[in-house]
Amino acid sequence: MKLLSYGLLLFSLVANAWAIDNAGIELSDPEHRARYQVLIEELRCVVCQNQAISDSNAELAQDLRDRVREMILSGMTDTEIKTFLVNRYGDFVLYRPPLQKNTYVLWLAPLVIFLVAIVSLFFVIRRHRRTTLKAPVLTDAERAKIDKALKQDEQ
Amino acid sequence: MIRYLLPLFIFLGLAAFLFQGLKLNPRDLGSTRIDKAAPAFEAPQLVKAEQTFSNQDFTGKVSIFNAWASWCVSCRQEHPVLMQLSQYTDIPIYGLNYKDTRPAALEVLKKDGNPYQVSAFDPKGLIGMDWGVIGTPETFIVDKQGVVRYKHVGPLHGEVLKNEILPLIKQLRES
Repeated sequence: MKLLSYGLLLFSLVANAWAIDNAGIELSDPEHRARYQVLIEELRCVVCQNQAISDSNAELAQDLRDRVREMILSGMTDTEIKTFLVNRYGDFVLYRPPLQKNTYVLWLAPLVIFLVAIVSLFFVIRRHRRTTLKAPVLTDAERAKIDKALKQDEQ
Repeated sequence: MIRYLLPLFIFLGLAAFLFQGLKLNPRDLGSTRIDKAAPAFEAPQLVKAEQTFSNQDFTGKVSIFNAWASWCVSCRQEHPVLMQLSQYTDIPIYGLNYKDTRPAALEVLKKDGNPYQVSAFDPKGLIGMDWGVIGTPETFIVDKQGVVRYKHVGPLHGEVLKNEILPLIKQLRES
């Protein structure tokens, strides 16, 4: 157990070392810093594609972090900064893809699947009710069989 | 019957999608610059540092614009292909020396040969950023009007050259 916790400690140290950003320019304004933090979490690193530029140590991610800082300092809005990057790397850089013609499937599929699930659930429940709530109706032949069996039992 | 076969069909559909996925190159994100004017830039040349190279230099001919660097291993791999292109065709090849140092880049050109008419020197990768370069090597084709027509991600090889690049250049030259 002790070994494990040491291992985890070591691992967290390494993880921290990776996260270090060689800030060329420091953002002194807290509002700028907050915007920067949100932006770099939402922008995908196009080199190591499953990381945001905030936690990628790829050189391009560093360049993009520097560029984002420069753009914030030059007074660009968040939308302008995102447009700048989309113009260069495509919608792929956005971790939050915009709702447009080629992303309808992406955005609407969960809703469609949810609706299909709800509708099928409705039918399943209805069928379940029909088969379990009503007492089974016996046919005359079955009734006769029961009567016969009970009579045999009495004898 | 159909209800027992349904999982099989779903599996087959999924397998078909995944199989297609195997053939895709995740590095190739396409380019937002296709069919748009080449991003404007002006940079010092790599060899003749006192001269510049700009997007204006693309006009009037169909050319290849190749992002490379001395530290890039797969650039070494495609280098012979570029050398052959420069020797056996009259297609102008321009280079974008991306995030490199001048001495290291010049050393490579001296050792392996220089296929480029001119290389633009982009030590900070800012021109590369405007062109949407993700990683070297990347190759663009720019037409006579200075419009980007094509992008290839990764090292050039004979097949790409024969099936895509050379036919496209021929077609653009005739138009």
